[in-house]
Amino acid sequence: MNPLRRRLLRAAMGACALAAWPARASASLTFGTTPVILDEQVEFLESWRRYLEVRLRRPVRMLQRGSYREILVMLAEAKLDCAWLCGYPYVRMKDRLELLAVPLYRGQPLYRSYLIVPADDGRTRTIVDLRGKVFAFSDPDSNSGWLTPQVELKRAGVDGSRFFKKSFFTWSHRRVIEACASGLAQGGAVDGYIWDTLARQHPELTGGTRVAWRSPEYGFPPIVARRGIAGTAELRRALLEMARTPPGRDLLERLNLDGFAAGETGLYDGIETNWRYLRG
Amino acid sequence: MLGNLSYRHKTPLAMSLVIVVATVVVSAALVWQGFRQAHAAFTHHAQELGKVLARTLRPAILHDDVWQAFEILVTPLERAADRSHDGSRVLVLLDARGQVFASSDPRRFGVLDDFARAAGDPGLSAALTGQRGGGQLVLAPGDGRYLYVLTPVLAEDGAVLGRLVQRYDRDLLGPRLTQVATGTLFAGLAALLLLLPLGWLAGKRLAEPLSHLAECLTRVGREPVDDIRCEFPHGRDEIGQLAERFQGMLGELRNKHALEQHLAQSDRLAAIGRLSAGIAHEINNPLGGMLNAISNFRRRGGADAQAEKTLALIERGLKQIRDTVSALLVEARLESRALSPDDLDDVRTLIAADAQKKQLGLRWRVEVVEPLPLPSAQVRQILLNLLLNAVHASPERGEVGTHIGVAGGRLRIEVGNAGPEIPERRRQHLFEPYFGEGEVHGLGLWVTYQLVGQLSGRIDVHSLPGYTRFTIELPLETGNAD
Repeated sequence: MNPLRRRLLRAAMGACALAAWPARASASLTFGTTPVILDEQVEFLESWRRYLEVRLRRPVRMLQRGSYREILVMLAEAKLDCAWLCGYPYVRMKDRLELLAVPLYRGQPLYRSYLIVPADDGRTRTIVDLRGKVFAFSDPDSNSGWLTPQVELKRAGVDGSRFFKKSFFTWSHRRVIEACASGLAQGGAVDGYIWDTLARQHPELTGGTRVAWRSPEYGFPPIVARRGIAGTAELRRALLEMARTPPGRDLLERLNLDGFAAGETGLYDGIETNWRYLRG
Repeated sequence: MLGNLSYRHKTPLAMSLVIVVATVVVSAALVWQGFRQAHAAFTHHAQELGKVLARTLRPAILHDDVWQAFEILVTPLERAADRSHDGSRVLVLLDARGQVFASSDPRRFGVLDDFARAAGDPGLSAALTGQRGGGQLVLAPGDGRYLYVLTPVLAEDGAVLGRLVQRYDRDLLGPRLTQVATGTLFAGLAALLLLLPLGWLAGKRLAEPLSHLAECLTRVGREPVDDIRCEFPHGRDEIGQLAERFQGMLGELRNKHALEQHLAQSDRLAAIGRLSAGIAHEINNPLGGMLNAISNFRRRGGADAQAEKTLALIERGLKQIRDTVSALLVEARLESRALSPDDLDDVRTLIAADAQKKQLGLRWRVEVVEPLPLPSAQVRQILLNLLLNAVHASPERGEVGTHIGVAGGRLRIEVGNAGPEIPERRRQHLFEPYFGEGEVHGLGLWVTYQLVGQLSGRIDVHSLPGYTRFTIELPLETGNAD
């Protein structure tokens, strides 16, 4: 190796080290959020981000994307450290994800999927009553907004792809409610926690819909981290402690949650069973 | 009814009517124009919105994203008033087969509904199937209640992916129409408020001379012509011409009236003259005889004192009768002596004593310097009579003016006094023999008139309150001929 080449190589390596330095020095935590919560509230996310930064003593970046899929891809590509996901993608990617915390809703780490219909529809009792209607799903990677109704249809022995006259995705639970309230869809599948929270915060919106059917309880959308990244213990602790600090309680109040629990994988067995049932 | 109405009212009324009608017509035209503009602006706006939306909707229809399409369709109607589900504004995206892909009012136009059937507009169905290619279409089929704007949603390569339908209820233009109408109404009212009084005034001014003329005309025949005094604005317009003619007519009437009066007076005076002359002759003949008889009787000297006293009494009485009769007769005394300035001075001397008694000022202006071919006795008599009358009529310490001059071959005598106006009734019979109560005799003017008549002259009187003037004109040649 001639001296010139060695020098060039050293310079190149130095440049690489320099380029890598700011990233290592900031060591920020990237946190992806999905429409499992009412994630269109920028101010809330900013408050939560600051709260976590103080607790973790490191920069935190909140990332929002239009669909679950984009967040999942970013997790898979290691562009995200952790995310608040639905239980459905979690069970599919369980081997690569670490369960950090499960929110406690009404004291339980559980929620339901709701079948909602426009308020003027007083007859519909189950999804089977909506044959030939227009149906709104929230997201193809949502347990409550897609997997649950699909499983229900399959259990009823109908072909989910032809059962409705038309079905579409709104990419958020809130918009499923809007679609049903406006009459665009005659039925929709929605996260029960979202519906309940909106019923508390925006009753005029949920007032246009009626909950026709409630699913059995499933594990609440968890906060997960990529396996093998550092600092997950601190994040878990910060989340679990939220219910014990006044600012944390404030934030939880705005989320309409009671706190976070450590949770366990078994919570999501029901979802996994459904997934396998639908697939198989 | 209208024919009986005065032009004083008819013209302003007509003016006002024209103003009102004009204002109404102009206002209606403005409202119509404003409404058409509002309609055009509305349509234009809808078309622009359609173009923008059609472009925005392309990915939604391409990716079969009903929700995205719905959100795009709802966005322009975000305002609460627009979103009221009265169906006044509806945006519908149709797929390539004409079925509803998404609409801003899903309850009316549900997903995959047949749009034409849902709209309930049979005319629309034909228009939808008729539309081919990439052009935008504005329609108002059926009863025209709704305005439709159809905009094709095109793929990059120009293929028709679907169609955006904007449906607007025409009632949406109602408020705009009301707004335009209200604005125009207020402007029109303001114009009326300004123009009506002006029009009324102009009409009144136009009709005023006409009605004044009519009023004057109706007075002719009802009132004495001399009392009718009418003023008209000058001008050569029709009313001006009429007024001029009318004034001419009034003048003629006045002249005719004066002439008639004059003629009647002359006739009367002539008749009186003939009568009195006849009577005088009839009296004078026996009177002369009686006086001669008395004279002869005396000459014979046979009368005693008592008889003489009686005779003297009779003689004085007869002489008084003769004097009176001769005064009435005004005989032409054919004296050839020409009138000299001294004659006029004599008269002045004669009247001076009478004037002195009433402390009158006597203004005397005589522009006669040489003898004139006029009989001096008659002229003296005339002048004396006039002056006596003037002194008599004049108030204490008044003034009597005399002006005698020659002009145009005539001797002109003017005698004026400051006495009261001669009453109209008296003036009609001014020159007739007059025997009023308390007056010695009223023959002065009668005699004067007769004398002037004999000299072919003319006598005029001009009497106002506080000033009365007699004017005599005597032709010099005729005086010679006599």
